[in-house]
Amino acid sequence: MIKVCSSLGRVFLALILSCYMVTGVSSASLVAATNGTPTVSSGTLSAVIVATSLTANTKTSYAIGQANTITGNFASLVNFGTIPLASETLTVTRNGGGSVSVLSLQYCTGTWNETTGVCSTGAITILTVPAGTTSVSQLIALPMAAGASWRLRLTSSQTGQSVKLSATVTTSNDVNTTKNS
Amino acid sequence: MLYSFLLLLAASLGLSLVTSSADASLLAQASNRTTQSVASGKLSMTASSDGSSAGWSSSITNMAPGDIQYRYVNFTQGTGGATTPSLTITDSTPTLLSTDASRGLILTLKSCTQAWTYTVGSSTVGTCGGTTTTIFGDSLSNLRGTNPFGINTAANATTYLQLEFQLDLIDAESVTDGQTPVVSPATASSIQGLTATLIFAVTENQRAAVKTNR
Repeated sequence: MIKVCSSLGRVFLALILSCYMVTGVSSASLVAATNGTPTVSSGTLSAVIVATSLTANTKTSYAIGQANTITGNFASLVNFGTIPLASETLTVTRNGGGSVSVLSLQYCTGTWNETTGVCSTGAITILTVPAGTTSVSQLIALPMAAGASWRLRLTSSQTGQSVKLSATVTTSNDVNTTKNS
Repeated sequence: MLYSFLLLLAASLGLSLVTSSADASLLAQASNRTTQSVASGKLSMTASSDGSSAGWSSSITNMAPGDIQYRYVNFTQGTGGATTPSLTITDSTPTLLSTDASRGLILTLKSCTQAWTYTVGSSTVGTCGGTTTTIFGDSLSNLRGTNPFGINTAANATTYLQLEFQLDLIDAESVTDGQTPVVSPATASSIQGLTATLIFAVTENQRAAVKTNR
């Protein structure tokens, strides 16, 4: 009886030792690791028409109380977003009365003389709102880097016209970038 | 009495002779004339930016839907050899960029047996002069978690990787006069102005132990 117990004891002890050995091998195995930690951010789209300040993001359409028939009214289209734009949609809307006037929105590839209303070179008409029409929108290819601007001129054939200028950009207007970095 | 003394003396001498005989036994030894060194390998993995690439730890900013940026990273093994490499991807500040499978970031990882050929700043995607293998290409949303990472695990091997980050171009968003983006479909949220803070954690284990007769 004593001999049997002793044999069982040895087997039991051997099992315990073998378990420890397996555990020992497992915990001694090696692991290597390394990390990369990039941040990836999306940009923003935002084109706004403002009066004179190129830093004031008004986040609203630009209103002209009385269109100037002689020199026109000037405003800036500014890219306040962080994504470069290839094009924008500009909208001119007349507010009440004066529906017989013809409205015209222009940009100048040169420089505007805002006192005389003359473009040094390359005055281009973006859109025209005919008499009797309330609103006209036009997609125009004016490339703008983030923070860039274009100076626009609005003219009216008659005085007393109240006008609203608005700009819209979509994900189809942005400049897509593919590059190695 | 004298007899006894002589007998004792004779016995003592006999013992001495036996002892002397034991001291004169031969001993042969053999040893290696050149020492044998036994060295353990080193399980290590080094990730480094390839050439002038920004690698996989610097930021990518202002991505627009449809934008793609390529980064190049090299993985070099230590002397030990490894097995079962894996890549665990987490975003510590999850946004649509890493949770939206159809509108967020898409990550494609390719390996090359040689260094990639590319020009930083160029829009021409890098080319592989050796064998190219696509390890994975999927939305970041689906890749979050642990993924197989098929790099060369042989001792001292280098794997050349190209990481492609793409912001998917699925739904249109429009912004009028800088106000809140209007997203189509209307139930969706804007993808603009978000940041994914990614952690790429690569781990690998020691190779299987070997028994060898030499």
